[in-house]
This record gives sequence, C-alpha cells and structure tokens, in this order.
Amino acid sequence: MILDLFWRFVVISLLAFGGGQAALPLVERIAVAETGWVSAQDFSTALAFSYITPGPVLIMATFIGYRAAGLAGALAATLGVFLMPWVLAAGAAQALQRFMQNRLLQGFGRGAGPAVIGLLGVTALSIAHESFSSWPYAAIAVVVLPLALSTKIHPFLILLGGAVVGMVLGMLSVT
Amino acid sequence: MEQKQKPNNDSAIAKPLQPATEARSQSLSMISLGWLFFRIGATSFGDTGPLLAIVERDLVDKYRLLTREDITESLTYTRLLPGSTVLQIVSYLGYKLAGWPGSALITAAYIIPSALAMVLLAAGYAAVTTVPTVAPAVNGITAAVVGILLATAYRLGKRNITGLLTVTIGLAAFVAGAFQGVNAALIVVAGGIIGILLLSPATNEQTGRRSL
Repeated sequence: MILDLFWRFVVISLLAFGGGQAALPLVERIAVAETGWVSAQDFSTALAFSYITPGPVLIMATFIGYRAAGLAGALAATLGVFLMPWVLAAGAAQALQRFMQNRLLQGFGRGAGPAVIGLLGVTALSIAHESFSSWPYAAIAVVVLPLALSTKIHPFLILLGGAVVGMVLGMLSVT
Repeated sequence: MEQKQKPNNDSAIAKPLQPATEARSQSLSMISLGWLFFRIGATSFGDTGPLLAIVERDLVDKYRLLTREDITESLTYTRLLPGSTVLQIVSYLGYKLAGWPGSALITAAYIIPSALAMVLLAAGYAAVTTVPTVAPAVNGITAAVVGILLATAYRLGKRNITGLLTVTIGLAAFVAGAFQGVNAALIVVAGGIIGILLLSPATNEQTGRRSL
C-alpha cells in the first residue's frame, strides 16, 4: 500500500504536463476511481484544503496519503508527487536545458495536454455523479462555474460558499 | 540572445552590477536559506506571484544571490516540465543558489509547512466527518469543486486545444475515460505519443528563455 502510494504519485507527477492543475484529473482517476484509496468526497475536500494551505495544489497528495494509510501514507504520497519534479527542475538548472527544448518532448506535452482536458471532464462528471444528490447541489456547480471563470474570487472562498450553502440545504433537509 | 553553454551563473557574471559568484554565495548560510524558504512556504498562498515577489525582494535585491534572469529562466524551463510548477521554480532557484544538496534542502523547507498543515487538516477532518451537519457541507464543497474543475478545464483548454487534432485527442480521452474505463495514465501517455508523432515542432526550440 505504502509503496503503491509512492509510485503511483510518481507516475502522476511525471504525467502532469502543464503544472499541478493538469494533474488533478490523474489524481482523481487514480486515487478514487482506479484504486479506491479515498472517496470522491475525500478528493474534493483534499482539493479544497489544498487551496486553503499555502504552496502547490498537489500538496493534496499529503491529504490523500494520510486518508489512505496514515502518516506513513502521507509521507510516501508527498515524496512520490514531488520527487521527480524536483529532480527534473534541479537537473534543468544544472544542464538539461537542451533536453527540455527537445522537439519530441514538446510534442509529447502538446498531445498530453488535450488528453488531460478530456480527463478533467471525466473527473468533473464522476464528482458530479457523487455530489448532485438533488438539484440544488447541481445549481451550486452552475453558479460556481462563471464565478471561477471570470472573477478573481479565491477558490477557497468559492468552496467555503459551497460549504455554507450545503449546510443550509442540510438544515432544510434537502438531500 | 545568448545561448546557455555552461550550467552555472555565466549570465550573472556577465552583468556588471552583480558581484562575482564566489563573493555572492557566502552571504547566506544553508540554514538561513532553508529558513527563508520555510517562511516562503508558509506564506505563499496561491499562484507563483507571492513566491516570486519574496524571492525578488530578498534574494535578488537584498542579498544579490540571484539575478532577474535566473527567475525568468526558472519560469520558462519549469513550464516545459511535468510536475508542480511552483515547487519546480523553488527547486530550480535552489540549485542556482546551492547546487543539488541546497536544492534538496530548500525544496524540502518550502514544502514542509503546507505538508504539515495538510496532515493536521486530514487528521481533523477524519474526526469531524461523523458530525451530522458536516456531511451536507462537504457535499456543498464537492458540488462547488465540479464548477471549479470545469473552469480549470476551460482555462487549460484555451492553451492546449488549438485545432482539430487536439480537439479530437481531448474528446477521445473523455470517451475512453468516461465510458471505456481506460487507465488514466495510459490515456495521457497515448495523447503524448500522438503529440510526438503529429505535433512536434520542426526543430528543437531555441527561443524558450525569451518567451517570457
């Protein structure tokens, strides 16, 4: 389990062309859909918390690792998700600029990018399936989309708003 | 337009206003560098903006350990690499400051505050999920996450999806993931291979460092 956490997060990090955001669907697909380490709600909470805390969004690996296998899991997932990116970045600072300008590597990134967008759609769909227990919850997503797209409101505040609305819905027992 | 030939601070030495490498690297110990990046890690919320502001103020202007060119380079090259970009900017600059061991120390120092926070939140979250009012709140967060993910997809897509082929790759990835249950890593690799075959630029890119 611990080793599995480590190496799967290594794979996720190596396929994250376009930064941490581009890795979100991979994290969800692998941690929720493929291995069942955590639930879809855990994934969403991890994402929300990664916006609250400073640092990269992929710090959500720590949360997922902890939920899946305690402190050792948190450590394995954190190391896994940041080890190779660190090696690549420090290596780039040392001597690998040539390699990174390689046309094949760039081609890989250009093809992997759109695939990640498609997977983001899958992730959104499966989380929607999990959380839209009634239409008011779907309405939350519909309101959030334009807010996240065209305002500068911090994602954390948006998610906090979602929590408050959810709580109100809970009190009105709309489930 | 000078192309980098050697790994280390050539460009910095070439600048008349910068002290020589040896003189520069003595002014901050590894411990103070680690402490500085620990503080950066504890305070840099959001994107690369706050991180770069602190690095520029402290390491470029105050201690003159880095140049603005170093920062531009870190942004340019880490964007091409897979992985968390913010972290990689720190790792890249860490190498420029103090080689491999320094980069390891600085990267770890940067990540520790948020990792600790996440562990505490994960432990606390496990304790409160049994409280009845928490479940609908989490459900509300989850619903909001759907909106945020769609917005992210749109923003990333504007950059990545540029023509018929990339639209097809995106749609095929969606179908394979949603309806065929194909392994997500495989889907990304398949997209990458199609990219190598059909989307590679004609020559190795030479202008990367100028693109910012």
